[in-house]
Amino acid sequence: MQLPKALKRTGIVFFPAFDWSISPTHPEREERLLYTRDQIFEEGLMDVEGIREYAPLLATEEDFDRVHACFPDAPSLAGPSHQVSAGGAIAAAKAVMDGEVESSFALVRPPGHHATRVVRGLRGFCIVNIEAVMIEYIRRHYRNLRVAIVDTDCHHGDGTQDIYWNDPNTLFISLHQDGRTLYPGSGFPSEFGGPNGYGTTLNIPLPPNSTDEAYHYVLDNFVLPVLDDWKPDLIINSAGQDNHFTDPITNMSVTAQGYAEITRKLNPHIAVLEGGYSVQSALPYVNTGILMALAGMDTGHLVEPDFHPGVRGMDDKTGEYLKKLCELMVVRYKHRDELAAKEFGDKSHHTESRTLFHDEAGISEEQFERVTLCKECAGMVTLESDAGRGEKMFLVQIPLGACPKCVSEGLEAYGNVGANDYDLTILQNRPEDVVEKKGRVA
Amino acid sequence: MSSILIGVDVGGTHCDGVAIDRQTAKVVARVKVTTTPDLKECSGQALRQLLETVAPQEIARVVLSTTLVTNAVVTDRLEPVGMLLMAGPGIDPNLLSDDPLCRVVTGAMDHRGKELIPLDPDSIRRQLEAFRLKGVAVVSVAGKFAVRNPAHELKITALARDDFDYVCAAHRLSGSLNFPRRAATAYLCAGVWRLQSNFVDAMAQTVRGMGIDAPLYLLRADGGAQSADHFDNPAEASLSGPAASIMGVLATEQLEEETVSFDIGGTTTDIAIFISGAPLIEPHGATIGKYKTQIRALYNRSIAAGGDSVLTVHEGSIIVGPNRYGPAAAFGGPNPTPTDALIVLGRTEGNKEIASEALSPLAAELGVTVEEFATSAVASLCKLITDAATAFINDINARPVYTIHEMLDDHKVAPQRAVVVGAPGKAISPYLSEALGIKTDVPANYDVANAIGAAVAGLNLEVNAVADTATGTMTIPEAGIQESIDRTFSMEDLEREADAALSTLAARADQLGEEYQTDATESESFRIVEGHSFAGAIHRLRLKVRPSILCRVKE
Repeated sequence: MQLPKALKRTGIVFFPAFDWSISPTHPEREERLLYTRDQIFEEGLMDVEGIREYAPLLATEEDFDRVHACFPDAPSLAGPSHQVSAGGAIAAAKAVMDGEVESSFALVRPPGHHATRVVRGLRGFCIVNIEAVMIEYIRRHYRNLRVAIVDTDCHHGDGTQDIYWNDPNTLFISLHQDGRTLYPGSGFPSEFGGPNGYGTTLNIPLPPNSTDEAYHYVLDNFVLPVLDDWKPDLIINSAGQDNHFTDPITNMSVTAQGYAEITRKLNPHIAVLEGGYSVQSALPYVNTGILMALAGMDTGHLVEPDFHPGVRGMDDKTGEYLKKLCELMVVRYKHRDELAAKEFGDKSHHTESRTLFHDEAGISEEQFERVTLCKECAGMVTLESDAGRGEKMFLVQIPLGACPKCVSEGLEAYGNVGANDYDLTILQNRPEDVVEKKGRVA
Repeated sequence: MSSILIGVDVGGTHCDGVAIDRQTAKVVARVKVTTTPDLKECSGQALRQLLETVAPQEIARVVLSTTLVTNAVVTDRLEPVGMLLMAGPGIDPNLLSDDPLCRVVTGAMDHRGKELIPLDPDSIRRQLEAFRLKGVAVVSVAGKFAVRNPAHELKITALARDDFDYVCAAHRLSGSLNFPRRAATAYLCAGVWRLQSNFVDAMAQTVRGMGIDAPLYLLRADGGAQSADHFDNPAEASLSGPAASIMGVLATEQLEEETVSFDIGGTTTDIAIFISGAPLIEPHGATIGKYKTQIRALYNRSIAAGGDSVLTVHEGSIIVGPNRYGPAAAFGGPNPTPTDALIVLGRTEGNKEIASEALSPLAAELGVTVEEFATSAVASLCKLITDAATAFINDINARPVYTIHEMLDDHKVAPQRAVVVGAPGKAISPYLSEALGIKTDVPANYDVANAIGAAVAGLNLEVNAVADTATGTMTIPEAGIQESIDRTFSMEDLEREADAALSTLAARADQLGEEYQTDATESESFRIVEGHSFAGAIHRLRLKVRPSILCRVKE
C-alpha cells in the first residue's frame, strides 16, 4: 500500500467555516464545504507527499483598510469569518512567497470577489475581497509584484475589477456567464480599465450553457496568450466553481475534468475559492480536481457521478461567437496604449460616475471618481460616495509606487477636505502603508 | 481478592516486568531480563520472575506490550494479503498498490453512502479464486466511503469468508475518513493476524501453565489495554512500546499543568505531550514504517538518539547517533556513548576508566579534556532532544482547525513541566532541565515506567457515528452498526446510540468491566438543503474513551 506523490509541492489552506452562514437556506451556508471536506479527507490528499496543509491566519483591520474603504469601519462589517477567510488566502500566499511550496489553494469561505473598494455591506455574498487583501498583503510584506488575477467564477468579478480598475501593475481577466443573463450584470468587453490601467481589465462574457470546450477555447485563444505576453510575477486564480453543470444558481456546463484542466493550463501560484453552490454534486469533485491538478497529480479518475459526455461539446454558434470575441479582445489588448491615448487624450484628469448596489445590504450608492492621469504611476484617485441617509464618504487613494507629484496631490486632496464635509473621509496612503480617517464616524 | 496488576513491556534490548498492588498503589515486584529473539521466551521469563514475589491467584490481569507487530511491519515480514479495493471518483486506486496481490474491483459509494457503482459479484469470485490458487489465506477489503455505507465490503466479506482463514473489512477498523490509511490499516491487520494470534495463544498457554487464571490483555498503540481474546484489529498492537512509556508517565506523576515527557532509551528518545492530565492522540493515525495508517496511537515523536547512541566527531562538532552498535563502552560496548560521558561526569554508575579511555580520542580530536568533552557530548544529546521537542510542539500548534470558534479560541501548547523516564533518564535530567529551562522531574520508577504503564493502562476506544436523516440511515462502523432512522432522529439520539455502541465494544475489550469516561469530540450537525428547502439533517459525532490509568503508582 502506498500513496501517490505530488509532482509539485502544493499548499492547501482548508477553512470550511462550519459555524458560519448568511442564513440557514442561503447558498453560503454551513454545509457548503461539508462534502468537499469528506471527499478531500477520504481521498487522503492531506497525506500525499508534497501536499502540505497550512492553518489560516487572521487578517487584521489594517489588512482590510489597505484595500477597502469601509463604512463605518472594517470591524463592524467584516467579522471573524472574513478575517479567517482572508487570512486563509494570506497563509496560502505566504507559503508560496516563502518558497515552501510552488503553488497553493485557499479552499476557504466566505468568498470575496464582489467586494469593491467601498464596502457598505454584503454584496453578492461578499464583504471583503479576499484576493485583493491577500495581494496587497504580499505587496506590503514582500515586494510590489506584478500580479495577474484570472477570475474563473461564473459571476463577473466586479469587486476585484473595481479595486484594480486604475492599476497598471495588476492584470484582471474575468471569464463569466454573460452579464445580461446573470448577477451582477456587468463584465462586458467594453469594461477595459481606468485611464492609467487601460487594457489591464479584460472581460470575456460567455454565453449560457458554455461547456468545457467553449471554456478552453477562450483559455487557449485569449487568456494564455495574454498571460504569456504580460509576464506576471504571480498568477492568482479566483477559482469559483459555479460554472459546473449542476450548479443551482447559474447556467453553465463545465465539468470537474474541465476545472482540473483549467487549473493545469493557468498553472496559478495561488488558487482562491470563490463561488460554487452545487455542494453535493460538484464541489467535492471540483475542489479535489483543482488540488490534484495544482499538485501535478493525474485527475483521469475524477469523474463526477452526474457526468454524461453530452455536457462537453460546443455548438457552432457559440464557437463562432467566441472566435470573434477572442480575436477582438486580443486586438484590443495589443493596442491598449493607443486605445488609451485615443480615449483619454492629453487630459490631466478623468472623471467617472457610477451607481453601485450592495444587494444584500439593500444599499444603493452614487460614486464620483476622479483619477489623475499619470505616466509615472497608477495615479492619485479621489472617490466620493453617497449612500444617502447621512452616509457620505470621501476616499483619497495614493497608490503603491506613486510618483512624488501624485503623492503631494493626494495629501493635498485629503488636507483640503474639512473634518465635517463628509461623514467619513479616508486617506489610503499606500507608499507609507498608513490609513488616515476623519469625520463624524471616524 | 486479586488486586495485582502485572505489566510486561518487551523492548528492543530489555524486557521489563512489574507487579503493582492496586490496593496500595505500590510496585511490589520489578524485574528486568534481556530480550530474546523469540519474544515469548523473555516475556515468560519476566512473568516467572515476578511470580517469585506474587502468588498467581493474587493476579487480577496480565498486560503485555511487545515489539512483535511493529517489528513485523517495519521489516516487512507480513503474511501475503489478498487486498481488494473499491473506489469511485478521485485518486486512481491503482496508484495505491505496489503489490501484485492488490486488486481494484468494481463498486463505489459516494460521500453520503449512496451507491454510485454496483458490485460485480462474479468478478469478485474470480478474483478471490485467483488469490486462493496463489496460496493466499488472508484477505482484506477496503472501499472508499465504505464507512458511510459498508454494504459492498460486507458482501465481499460474505463471499470470501468460507475460503479464507481471515477476512478483514476495513470499515470496522476506523470510522474516520481517509481511504488510503484505512486500506493500509486493513492490509496490516490481515498481514499480522496469524503472527499475533499465534503469539497470543502461546502466551495464554504460558500464563495458564503458571497457574494464573486472570485474563491476558495486550496494550494498544493508543495506550488502551484490550482483552487478548477480543483483539479485533491485531495491527493495533503495534507501537505499544511508546504507548507503554507514555502511560507510565501518566501512572507515576500527577500531571496538572501542560507537560512534555521524554522516554530516553538506549537507541531512541520518545517525546510526548500531556494536556489536562491526558496524553495527546495522533490526529490522523500512526505511521508505522512506510505505512500511514488509521491506527489510533498516542501522539509521540521519536528521535534516533539515546544513552547508547554512538558518539563521533565530524568537522569539529560532536555527533550523537543516529546508530547504536551496542551498550556503552564502560559496559563492554564497541564505541563511546553518552552513557560513557555520564559515567565520566559521575552522574551514573560504571567503570570510569574504561569510559574515559573510550572518550579520550574524541576529546583529543577537539583539543579538550575528557571532562569537557563529556559535558559537551551530553549537551549535544540534550540539544537534539530539545530541538525535536520544540519542532513537535510547533507542529501541534500549527494544526489546522475548521471552525471560526476554534480559530479564535486557538490554544497554543507551551509545556510548563517535563518528566523524564527511561534507563539513562535520571542521569541526563539535570542537563536536560537546564536545556529546557522548565521544571523537570524524574519519577521513582523511571527505569520501568513502561512496564508500569502497561500494568495500569485503562481502556481506550473510539466510535465515529453518523446519522443522515435524509437518507434515513445511521452508521457506527467500528461497532458494525447500520440502521434505519426516521426524520426526527436528533444529535441527542445519536449520542445515545454512540454511547451504547461504545459500551458494547467496551464490554468485549475489557472483561473486568473497569469504569471509563468518554469525551464527545467533533460533534457537528448540518441541515441539508436541497433545492430551497430542508431535506433533513446530518449529525456526526466522535465519541472517545479518555486515556486513563487504573491507579496512580506511588513509590
